[in-house]
Amino acid sequence: MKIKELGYLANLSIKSSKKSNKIIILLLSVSMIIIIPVFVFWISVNVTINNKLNAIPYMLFSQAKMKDYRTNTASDEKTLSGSEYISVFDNIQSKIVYEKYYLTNEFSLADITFSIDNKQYNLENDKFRYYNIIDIEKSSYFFPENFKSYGSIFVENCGKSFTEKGKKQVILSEILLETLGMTTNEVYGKNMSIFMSNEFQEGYLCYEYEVVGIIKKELTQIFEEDIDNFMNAQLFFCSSNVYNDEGEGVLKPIMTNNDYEFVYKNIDNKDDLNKEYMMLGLDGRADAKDYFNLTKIFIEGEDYHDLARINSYLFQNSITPQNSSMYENYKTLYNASNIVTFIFATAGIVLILITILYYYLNIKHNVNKRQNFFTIMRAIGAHDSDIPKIYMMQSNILCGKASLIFAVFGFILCALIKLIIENILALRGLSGIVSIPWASIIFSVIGMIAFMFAITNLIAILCVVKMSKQPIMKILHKEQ
Amino acid sequence: MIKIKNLSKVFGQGESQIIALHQIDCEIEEGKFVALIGKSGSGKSTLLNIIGALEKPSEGDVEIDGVNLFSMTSNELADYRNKKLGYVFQSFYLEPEFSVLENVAMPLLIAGVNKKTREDKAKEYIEKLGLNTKTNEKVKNLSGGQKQRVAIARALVNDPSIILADEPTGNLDTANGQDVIKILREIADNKKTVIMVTHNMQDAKIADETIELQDGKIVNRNINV
Repeated sequence: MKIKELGYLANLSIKSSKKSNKIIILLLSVSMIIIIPVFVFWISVNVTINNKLNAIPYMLFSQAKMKDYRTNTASDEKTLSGSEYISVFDNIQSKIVYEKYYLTNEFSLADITFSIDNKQYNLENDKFRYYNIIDIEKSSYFFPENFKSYGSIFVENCGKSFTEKGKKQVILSEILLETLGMTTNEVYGKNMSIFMSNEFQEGYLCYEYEVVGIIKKELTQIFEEDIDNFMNAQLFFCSSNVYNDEGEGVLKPIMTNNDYEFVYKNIDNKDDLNKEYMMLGLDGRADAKDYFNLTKIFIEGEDYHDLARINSYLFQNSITPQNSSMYENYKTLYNASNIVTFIFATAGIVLILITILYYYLNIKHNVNKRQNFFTIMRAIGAHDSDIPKIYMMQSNILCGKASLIFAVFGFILCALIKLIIENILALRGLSGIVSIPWASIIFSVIGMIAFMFAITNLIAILCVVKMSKQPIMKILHKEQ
Repeated sequence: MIKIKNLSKVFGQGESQIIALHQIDCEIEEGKFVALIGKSGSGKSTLLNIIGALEKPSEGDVEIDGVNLFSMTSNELADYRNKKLGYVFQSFYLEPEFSVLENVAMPLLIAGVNKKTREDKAKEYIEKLGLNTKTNEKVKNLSGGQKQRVAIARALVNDPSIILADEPTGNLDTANGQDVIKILREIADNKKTVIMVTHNMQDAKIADETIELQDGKIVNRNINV
């Protein structure tokens, strides 16, 4: 039989059981309407917020308190950013200070506070980073006693543009300090004036830095670079003691073009310079992102994986962050979303199961009741496969009607949910964090409809296929 | 022409085996009204069902106009039944929730005839069977005699060459039964082959021939005068 005839018979069949078919349409449409918000919430809200919340430990991790290098005990005064802080606790006091800024930029949950020993610390409020370029006359110089014995001192400018942030911060290496004849205690947390000249020129100030980090010798000597020459890279090692681009693990300094200019003026042999230094090719100061990436490479290097794992555990056990209001908002939204999702999911699943069961019983009853009719249809020429097709057509008609109702009301409901959520988020200053794309609503609606079509057709086939294969007279004899 | 060759039908297996038909050979000419008679269990309905391709024989063949019925596929057989055969059953087997028109038009629907044509044709036969006042009535509201007329109309609507009637008056009172038999006679008079199973000898007398079966074999074949 052709589709037209199948549809005609299906419609006749539907008309003959109007009441039960109306119930089926109602159950199908309502169950779909109730469950569709689950997909909307789950796709758009739960997943998104869950990812944000999962990012928080990383950010919190990155804001672990830094060990006070001077006192060698945990200190409240400094904060260290970087997820690997604990992993290199013994090796680097302030390794990834600048990473914090990138984390802050990447994750908008900046105003995390956490407490240690009942004190509240908030990164954004932490003032210690705000250093402007210091006027020459107000600057405090720091020169080691034996500073003059060394010619030029070049220090990498590590971190984001200080001009922008008003920060002048540097991370040095122990090797450099040793070269300079300084101890970490003397330097760490202090301001250091760095200038470049062939000769020591007192009063000539290039930059003043706060030394916010020292990289221990062990790290910088991982690859046991043997450096003899004063002009060799070791002197220039600071926090850029990381892998170079080739990943060879060879310690090489990184310089910006500006630095290069300074250096170049003071180095006779240009070729030597090119051998010794890896030029980043940047116009300004090293972009901290490069630094961050390099540091990341360093951290992710094989040797440090274990450290990272161990210390992640330690971190989570040693620090209990308090949640910022933003975090709380996220958490509230996530919990609310979970509750709503759970309610809708439970109600929806229960209703879908009831619908499927009712539909199955209805079809089964219908098939039993009309067994003879369909058998006679086969007797007068219908193919065996026509009977399941009639029931599938019937399912499609019923599902189609329910889908129309569902599509309209389901879409309206999802649109309402979208509006409500986005408005609530806007009121709480969280707009842009979660969005419910129209595409996800449309695809959820379509997906639900497809699912219902599939289920109802499957039920129809299961109920009728056996009957349609039985010998005609066997069924008719049973009746007689 | 219907040719039945060495037809046997066995139900069940082993000790519970029942031989419903045993090596039946017979020919039925076109346009004849043949009554299959015999006691209950003689095999007459089984023979009718096999001729109507509603059951498969265990052995033997049935040829109708040179076509071996059981060499066809299931779908080919279904198409054949739709176009060449018409059935009238004792229990009518109509869809009670459908109207007279919808029931009668069913074979045409299966044949893929468009709605207008099949309704027109169905109405034609409904009128012939004297049911035009009941065209849109639901079958469940009709009397037994009326239902059987609907069944006959359904059997005729596709203009088959063979009508098979299995105890068509079995559920009817005498008067209605007589009416049905007369209708079948008229059908036969219109050059259609009618094969009727009956245990009512009075009904059998109206046929051109009677074939008597006993224990699955043809024991007698008479031409009615």
